[in-house]
Amino acid sequence: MEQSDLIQMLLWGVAMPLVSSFLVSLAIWWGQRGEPVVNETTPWWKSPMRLGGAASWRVATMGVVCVGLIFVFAQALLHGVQTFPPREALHQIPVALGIGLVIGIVELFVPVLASRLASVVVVGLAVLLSTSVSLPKPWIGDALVFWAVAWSALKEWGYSSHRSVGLVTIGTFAAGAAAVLVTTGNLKLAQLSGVMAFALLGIFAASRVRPLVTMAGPALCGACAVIGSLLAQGIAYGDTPRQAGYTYALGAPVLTVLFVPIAAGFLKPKLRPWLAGSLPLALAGGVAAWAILATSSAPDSGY
Amino acid sequence: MKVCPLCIVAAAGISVIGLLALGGAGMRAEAAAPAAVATMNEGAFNVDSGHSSVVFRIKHLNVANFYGRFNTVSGSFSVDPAKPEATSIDIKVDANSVDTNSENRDKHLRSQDFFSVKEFADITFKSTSAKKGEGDTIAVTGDLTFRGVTKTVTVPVTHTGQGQGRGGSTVAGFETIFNIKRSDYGMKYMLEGLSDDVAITVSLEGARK
Repeated sequence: MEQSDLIQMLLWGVAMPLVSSFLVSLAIWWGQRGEPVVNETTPWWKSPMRLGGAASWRVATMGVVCVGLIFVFAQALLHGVQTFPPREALHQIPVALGIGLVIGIVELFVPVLASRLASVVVVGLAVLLSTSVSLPKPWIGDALVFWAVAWSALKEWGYSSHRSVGLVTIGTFAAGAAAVLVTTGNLKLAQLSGVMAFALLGIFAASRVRPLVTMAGPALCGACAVIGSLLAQGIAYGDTPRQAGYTYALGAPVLTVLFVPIAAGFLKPKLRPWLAGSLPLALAGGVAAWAILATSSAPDSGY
Repeated sequence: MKVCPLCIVAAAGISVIGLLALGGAGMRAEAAAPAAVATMNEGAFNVDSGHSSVVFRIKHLNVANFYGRFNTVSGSFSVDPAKPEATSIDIKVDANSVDTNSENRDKHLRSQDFFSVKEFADITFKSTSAKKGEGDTIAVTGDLTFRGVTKTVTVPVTHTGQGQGRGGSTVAGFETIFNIKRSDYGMKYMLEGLSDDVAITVSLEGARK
């Protein structure tokens, strides 16, 4: 790879999303006072989370700008301006992102959609659609299931008292997806997953400066839609083995939601984000090794 | 907080439009691609893939020319230097048959980074008109479809010969060398390390029973 290619990748795929999402997050949450209202003792079918008034708009704006605009801008800089209507599958990623953002915004302002019961319905609908309906593109069914499961699992962290756990989990989920995709020969898809990971890292860095910075609703839903779509396209059009892709896409978010609360009782609060981050990355490492053994397709080796 | 019903309807509408864009546009793009070339035109020569070559040349790191090939080509052609206007070419190259003498590199070339063969399986050329070109060549204009993008190109075709095949059939051949910019067809990956300009050589042999 030529040096100028590498510099462009680092500039537009790493530095730009990281720095701009950090600055945008800080700017959007500047001046916010108080904590979001959190009620973690509600029955399982209800949402434990609510944001009120200005906080809802801040979280919606942050999602649209940091996860939406910055991602689309980075994709255009890395791979050229996308065509609309989309001509190829890669151009459909911003459309999936747009749908994710819209659903996230609606969920933010319609309380019933934030309930856990709604999450169960969403996952059920996604599985039903992917298995019983003839979808126009082979990747859409898998993407729907990946998005529904990841979003339903990870939004549990959005407003909880350990918000950084949620940010770390979604960020490492994106980074792990990049690792799985790069080891199965999908460099462009991996690059885009990396862009998302660095945009999320920027938000996480902002949350270290301003602890009120939280990621829920549109940002989370949009990020899950993108990561799910990238993994699904890796399966449909690349060499990502289907079983390996499913293991990672479903395993990483579900494992985190299941094990971090259990381990929380034994871990100091500061260590919980480390555990939350290590689970997706450990799983990504295992799945990447599995994929390499299954396909022998590490793209940059041997030529 | 009050929920605005209009907002929900608008959001649902946007989502539906997005879903249509996800699926419908792709379907339209596929429908617009030329139909597979499977049958021989009357009086035309059927491409003999085993004695035909489709070779591409690209510059690597701006220092050396690198050559690769496609191993499977099909279709038909009719090239007669005496009647250049009657020339017709209708061929299909299987993008999955790309061969660069490295299995790992071929896998990468088949991915979405380059040919995206699971999405766009065929590269096709269908002539629309022809006329006498420079010297012994025939200038053939046609639609080149590659990665879902169709562009009109004019290529210089040289009739390379005609004779009898071993089975009693009449065989003929032609060759054309032309350049394209891969970015025009949406292949924009690594434009710094791998040149945008790609030279393509198509040398086909066909048989007519």
